[in-house]
Amino acid sequence: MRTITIALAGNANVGKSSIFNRLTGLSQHVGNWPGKTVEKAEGTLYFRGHKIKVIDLPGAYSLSPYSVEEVIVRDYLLSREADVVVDVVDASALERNLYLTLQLVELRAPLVIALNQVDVAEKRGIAIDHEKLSEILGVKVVPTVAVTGEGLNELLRATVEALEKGEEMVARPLTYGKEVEERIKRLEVEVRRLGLSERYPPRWVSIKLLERDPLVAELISKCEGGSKVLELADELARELEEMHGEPSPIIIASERYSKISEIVSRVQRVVAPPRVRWERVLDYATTHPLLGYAILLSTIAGMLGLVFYTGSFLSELIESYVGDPLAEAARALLLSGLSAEAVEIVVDGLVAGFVAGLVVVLPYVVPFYAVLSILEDSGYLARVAYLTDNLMHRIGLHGKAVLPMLLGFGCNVPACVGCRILETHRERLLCGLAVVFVPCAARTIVILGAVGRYLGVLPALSIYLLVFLTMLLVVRLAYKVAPGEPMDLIMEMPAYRRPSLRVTALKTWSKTKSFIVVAFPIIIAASAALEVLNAMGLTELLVPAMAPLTIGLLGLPAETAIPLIFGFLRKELALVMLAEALGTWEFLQAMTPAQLYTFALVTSIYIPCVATLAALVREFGWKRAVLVAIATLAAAIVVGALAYALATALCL
Amino acid sequence: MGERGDELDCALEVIMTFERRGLRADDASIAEELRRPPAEVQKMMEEAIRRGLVVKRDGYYELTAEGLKRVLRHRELFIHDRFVHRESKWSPRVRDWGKHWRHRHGLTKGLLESFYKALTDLDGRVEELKPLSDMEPGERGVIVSIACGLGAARRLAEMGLTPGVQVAVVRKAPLRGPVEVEVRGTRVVLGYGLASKIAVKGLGGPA
Repeated sequence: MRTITIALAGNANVGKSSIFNRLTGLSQHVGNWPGKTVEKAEGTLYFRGHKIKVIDLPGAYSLSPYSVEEVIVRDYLLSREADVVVDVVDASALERNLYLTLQLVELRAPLVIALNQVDVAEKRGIAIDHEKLSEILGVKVVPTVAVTGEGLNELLRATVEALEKGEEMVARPLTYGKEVEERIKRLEVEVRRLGLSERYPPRWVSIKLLERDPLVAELISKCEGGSKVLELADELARELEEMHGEPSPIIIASERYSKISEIVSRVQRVVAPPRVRWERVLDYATTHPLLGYAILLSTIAGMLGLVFYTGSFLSELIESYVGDPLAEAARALLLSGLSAEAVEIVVDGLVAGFVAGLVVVLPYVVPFYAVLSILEDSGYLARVAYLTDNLMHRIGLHGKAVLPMLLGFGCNVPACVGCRILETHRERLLCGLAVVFVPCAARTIVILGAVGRYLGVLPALSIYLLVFLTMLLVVRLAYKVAPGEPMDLIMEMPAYRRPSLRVTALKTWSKTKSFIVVAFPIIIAASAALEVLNAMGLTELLVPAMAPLTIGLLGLPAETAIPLIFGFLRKELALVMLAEALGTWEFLQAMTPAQLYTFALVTSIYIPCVATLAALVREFGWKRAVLVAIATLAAAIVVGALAYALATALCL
Repeated sequence: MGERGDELDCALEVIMTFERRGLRADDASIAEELRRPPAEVQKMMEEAIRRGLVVKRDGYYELTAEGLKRVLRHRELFIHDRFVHRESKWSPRVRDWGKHWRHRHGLTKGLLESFYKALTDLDGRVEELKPLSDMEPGERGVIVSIACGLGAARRLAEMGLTPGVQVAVVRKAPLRGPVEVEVRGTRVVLGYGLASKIAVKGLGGPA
């Protein structure tokens, strides 16, 4: 018995992940596509004596070569690893969804179509004749409701049966309009002569060449006689462009859509007017020019409040029930065999680092992931993007960046990963830069614990304001210098739907799991490394070394060098270290209010913590991560120096 | 251009529209379209003939090559001022329009050609076009041309926003926020800047 490989393909928001989760449950493994920062989810299941490997391909609207996700989907399909491609199609948005289907047909992928969310379509008064659709395309079409699992058994059965019987699963090619079709045919004849590998269907190659696809053009240019084919393709594409007055990729897209309209008119009927339901009311309220913003603000406030409340509660619980006993146990265990200094390194370094990870990750990030996953699944985040697009434009980003920014309030690490939802590399990088300025839970502790507690609420709020102003300036500046074309918001607005508990739980778990793998080892290692430095007395050497910065520019006491360095490890540690360095928790006895204010401000802005830096490296590579770190460090010094000068001039 | 340049452009637009629809325009029909007294129109057209923009045959007007060029320039300027450069009050004198489109607005050579082609093929007067961002919620229209960079144009096409498709504005966020449109049975949100570069011919309110 051989393992069957099924790949799930489909647009975003069609319930593809729900189907994947339903099929594979907890057996899934989430990693990255080789060399790419795009999530790859795999899982296995057993069905009628077959072992089936399921691969959840990234959501894609098209198979163009211009987005990382789409290239991954395309390369995977071209590798012909999958025995079957299950194309998940949203029945309530059939026309748009068939756009990808048509491209899968062009690619001659072995297809089974999961006509998903038929319940939603029904509620909107749309009836789809799936048998007719199957007849037109020449592939199996199975109606499903992923949220409840309805139809998934049939989907598997249809797939496995077709494989067992060795049925033809490749759809019959669709013909496009005369002008385009003629040119495809002409080009196809030439492409066939090139003797390409079986993996590249000549018709698909021809269409791609007419679309001026650079990746396929590169492939062809390497073949013998390829340059002639490219010349012909260029000539034919130009003919089309002259005829239609549109660039050829737009002409081909229009062509696909007109074919789709034809198909849809044959299989889809609007049987009843859509019912006015709660989702309509909710949609209206959450996008309303006044009410919408009120709901948005209370949602964010509520979410942050909830996460911080549960977070600090859980954090204390973990600290006292896990952290402290663990440290005690480790100390007792090690004291018997090791020297006192080594014990310090292990206990204050490794164990403290582990506990720190535990205390930061679990209590804050898990609830955050859960709440955000619910907001995302329900479709609310798209409304948030709609409402905040305008605001985001002020810093050169657009509405979709709001999710990573929100994530940043909890912890910057998932926020950096969250930047992946943006399309282009440029946008991701700009968003990553913006995100590291967002005061995370740890920085909030410093701001509230130092400034809020000793100087009052208004100065604390002014720090937030200054941090955001700095972010605005830095990102604006980066917006000007970053290479690439700025993109405007183009986003699908999904209908509201009830989020499923199962999906939320699985999503939260899989993200937490991959997060622990990245952040945990780094926090522990860095914690131990700093403890080693401490034991060797190197940190004390740094105090005079950093004096020009601390005393000279920022006007801080020289001892603050230590907490500032420790802040790199864990920002909230800066507060504890400050108390230790100054020898008192009554900061105002050792520092002027202006100094304390500057300290908190600088701590909030300078270099993201080590775990965030690691996330930046993973997402954007070394060079860019270092650039971001330098940018924040420079911003912190400038803003800190200015703030200190101003505060001194103003009041003290 | 003369002080009545705008009026004259509108008259030429009318003639062009009639021609595209296989009809012919005379003084009366132009007067009716422009809602002007026929005597005034007649005077204006005499000037147009003198300048070699139109010729009169059996009482009907026909555009000359010069006239056609002027209509296209008028359309280009109209689209530019209404759609693309609408935000800047400062308007520099543009000498080389092709260069201006390429450098300022990211239109590549191919896109520019298609843009001019769309201007030539336009069914109706250019004054009937408006940016998608100016449509009111509930209003419907047909996309005529998209004057943005190829990257965005391609993404729009993939989402189903191709020239010739019917769209309906669902809602607009306040203060030049994004526009939500319904197209091909799905809803798509477009940033204001992008929406203002999409030229739409209105079809009126919901049926």
